[in-house]
Amino acid sequence: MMKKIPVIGVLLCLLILSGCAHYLVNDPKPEYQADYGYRYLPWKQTVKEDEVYVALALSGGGTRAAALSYGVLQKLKATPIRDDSTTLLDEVDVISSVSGGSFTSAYYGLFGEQLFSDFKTDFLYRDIEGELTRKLYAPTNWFRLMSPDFNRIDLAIELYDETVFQRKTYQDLIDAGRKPFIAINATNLTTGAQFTFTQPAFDLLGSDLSSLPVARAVASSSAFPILLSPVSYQNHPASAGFELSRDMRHGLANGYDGPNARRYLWAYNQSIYHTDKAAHPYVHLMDGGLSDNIGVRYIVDNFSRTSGFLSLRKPKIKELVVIIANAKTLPPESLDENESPPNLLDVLYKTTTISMDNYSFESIQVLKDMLHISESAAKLILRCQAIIDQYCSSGHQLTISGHQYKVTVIELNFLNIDDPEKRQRLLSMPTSFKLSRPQVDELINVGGELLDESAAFQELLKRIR
Amino acid sequence: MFEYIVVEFVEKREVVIDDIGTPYETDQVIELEPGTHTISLAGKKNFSPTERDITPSGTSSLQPDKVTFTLA
Repeated sequence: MMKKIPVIGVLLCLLILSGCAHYLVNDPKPEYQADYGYRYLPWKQTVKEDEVYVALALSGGGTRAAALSYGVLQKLKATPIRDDSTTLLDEVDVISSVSGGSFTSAYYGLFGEQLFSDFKTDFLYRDIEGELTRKLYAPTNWFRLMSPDFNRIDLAIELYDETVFQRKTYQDLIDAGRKPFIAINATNLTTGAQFTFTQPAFDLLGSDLSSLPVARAVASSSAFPILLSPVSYQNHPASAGFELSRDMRHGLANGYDGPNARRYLWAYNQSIYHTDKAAHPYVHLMDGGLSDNIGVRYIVDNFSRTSGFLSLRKPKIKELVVIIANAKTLPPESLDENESPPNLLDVLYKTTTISMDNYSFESIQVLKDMLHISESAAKLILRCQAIIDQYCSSGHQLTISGHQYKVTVIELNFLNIDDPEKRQRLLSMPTSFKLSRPQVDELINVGGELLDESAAFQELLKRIR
Repeated sequence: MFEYIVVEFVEKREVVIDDIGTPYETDQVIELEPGTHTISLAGKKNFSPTERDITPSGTSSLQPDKVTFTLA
């Protein structure tokens, strides 16, 4: 009996400790304020900066993607423009990121160029997987994990919050100046739609993003299915004064059979969290790669929608640049060598990755097509005017386009590496939060090299250097 | 992928699209995604109607739909 008392005491202590396990909920926002929180600045406040508009899309892919993204940012920092008065990194206006890429984007958004002195040791060189496993096996965490309010992902959030992002919140991102604007993307498990951590998305949840730890957004963006649990958020009562935007209302009214099914689905998937709160009291998010593993859909949406920050800037932009750091791999495949069909594990892996890879490829093509169509539409008027001026004496003047920009889309992809051995080595690199230093260093170098070797990048530099 | 309009008014004005003021101006070709949009003008409210709902279809940058406002 005496021996049992200390054991019970220890168990009680552990249970009390488990009671300390906290379930971080997003705060409510009782009143809506149109200019409050982490949202893109109004176009009138950024007219000069927007002449050269640079958007980065940083893909998922664990540490591999984070390191490749780091290499791209490092190269942009080493690229002087405007007679050496500034660098191309200073021209970056928005970074849309997914999963592994979100670690780099969030760190840069919070700490600026401290990224280049601290991020390698704070994240890239670390064995994050090992640290998470040790946390999982620590007996104190077993009891916390028994709580319905504490999951495996909460251990990851704690680790990222304490050791990578220094407990910073979205208020810190606001204070950092919103240049560039950091769009961290996750996937809504109910709708399958992309969920971007911005105040407009939280407005629909009646919630205040400002107090949310950035680590929680990054963990949502990188919560890989099965390995990590989803991250849950509360859908609060509607903020007083909030209503759906006019383009969202038009999208809904036009319907799926109407002139723009894409806008309808965009509007529907978001609006249900405002119009039908009873059926959606919570929202559960997972890895952003499930809905867009490249991060380009956020750019596409904001270029298309009339409320999108890119759509609103079209007339003020002269150079529109999108750089995509795509850390996609293509490991050697031996399935075709065997007569017998692939085993269950192979089938499961292929089932989860094939559609994601195909969708990612098509998303990049949609972005390229959309931007080039927009650019060509403006050029077409100028070309026709030139023909009229040359062959007609009427002096007829066509109405010119409100936007006139040069578009540059650069996709950095391991497939572009010339050296066959190096290409295969990088295409075979694992998706993991644990890579060796030489692997990380090679990825960083490759990010810069691929950008430097891009003909489109060199053409851009000739125009803006 | 896109539709095109030109907003006409006797004075040069910024164009308001779906309740948001934009840098687009009257007498310029404006690029919009397909679907219904609400068009109005920024500045003095001396125009009629106060806004127009449009659903352009089959337009191009060379053949945009015209959205006309008159002095009130």
